[in-house]
Amino acid sequence: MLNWFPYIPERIQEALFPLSRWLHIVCTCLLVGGTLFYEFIIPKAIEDLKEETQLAVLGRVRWFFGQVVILSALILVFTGSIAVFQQSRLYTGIFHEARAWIFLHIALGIFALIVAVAAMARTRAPRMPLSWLRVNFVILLIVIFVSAVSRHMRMMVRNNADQLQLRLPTGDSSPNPPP
Amino acid sequence: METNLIIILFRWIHIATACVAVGGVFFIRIVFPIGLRALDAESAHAMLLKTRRVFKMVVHTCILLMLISGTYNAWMNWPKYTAMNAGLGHSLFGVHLLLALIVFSILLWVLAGKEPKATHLKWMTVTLGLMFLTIAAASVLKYARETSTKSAGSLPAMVNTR
Repeated sequence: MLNWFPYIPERIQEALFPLSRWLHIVCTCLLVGGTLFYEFIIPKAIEDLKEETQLAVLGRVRWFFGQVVILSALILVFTGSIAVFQQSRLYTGIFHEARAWIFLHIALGIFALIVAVAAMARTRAPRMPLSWLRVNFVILLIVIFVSAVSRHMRMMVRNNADQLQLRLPTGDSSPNPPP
Repeated sequence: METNLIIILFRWIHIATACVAVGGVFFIRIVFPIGLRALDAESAHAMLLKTRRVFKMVVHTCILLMLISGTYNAWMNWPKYTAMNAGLGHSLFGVHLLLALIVFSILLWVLAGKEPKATHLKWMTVTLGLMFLTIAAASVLKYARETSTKSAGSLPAMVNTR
């Protein structure tokens, strides 16, 4: 069982990981869904308005969504670090093959967060017709895909190891006894 | 190999569509009304209708994809839920499924018709809260699946020593 933080009850330590995973997914949702809305739906909705009214609407939305993006990015980095801390042992030994995918997830995720924060933090509207956030939306979807691949690879190796375990002689001091 | 690809694809579809739906509800409930304050009542209403129409199409697609991918994921993971301690897997999965179905029902009802209902903002808030709870149920289910049937982290260490 967990005993990483002395003086903190084990139950609370165990609740940390599902809570961290939940926060990680919620922040991803806000980032991905928000980007889709901000870049693809809102511009279509305001295209009939006068230019100054468009800018007023976009400015307000951008101000608030920018804060959401920055907060989400910070929480994603924090909860991602907790996940790395928890799962680092799950990507060693025979799970080594799955490691490349989790590194790719981390690298692409950090890149996507930097792009999102940089795009929302700048004060002037982008001059290029294709906003970076549109590219970022695709990158975020790839990040989620890579995460699904890394998890599947890990589970596949574990299942194979379990099947191998079934053939081991009884009395083995394995922590994973056959069902 | 093809089965693996399908499993990954369905899992990705499930998470990606959930992200779009949850983020969309958050945006239309929390962020979008802030932008509408810059407009007069008539323009704000017209813009809300326009956005709502696109949002409805997005949400309907998301619900369809989540139902398909969720059914496949549940079918693939069913033995793992059964293997978990004392019905924990099925109870957590049941909570996740029930909450998701309530969310879908509310969304379909709130977004029905051309004009938004008088209480649509209140219902969007309720939906957003239920969506967060649905994700929480899924997170706990995944964590419980990893820790109750196996002691996470021990297997690699065990294999390394052989």
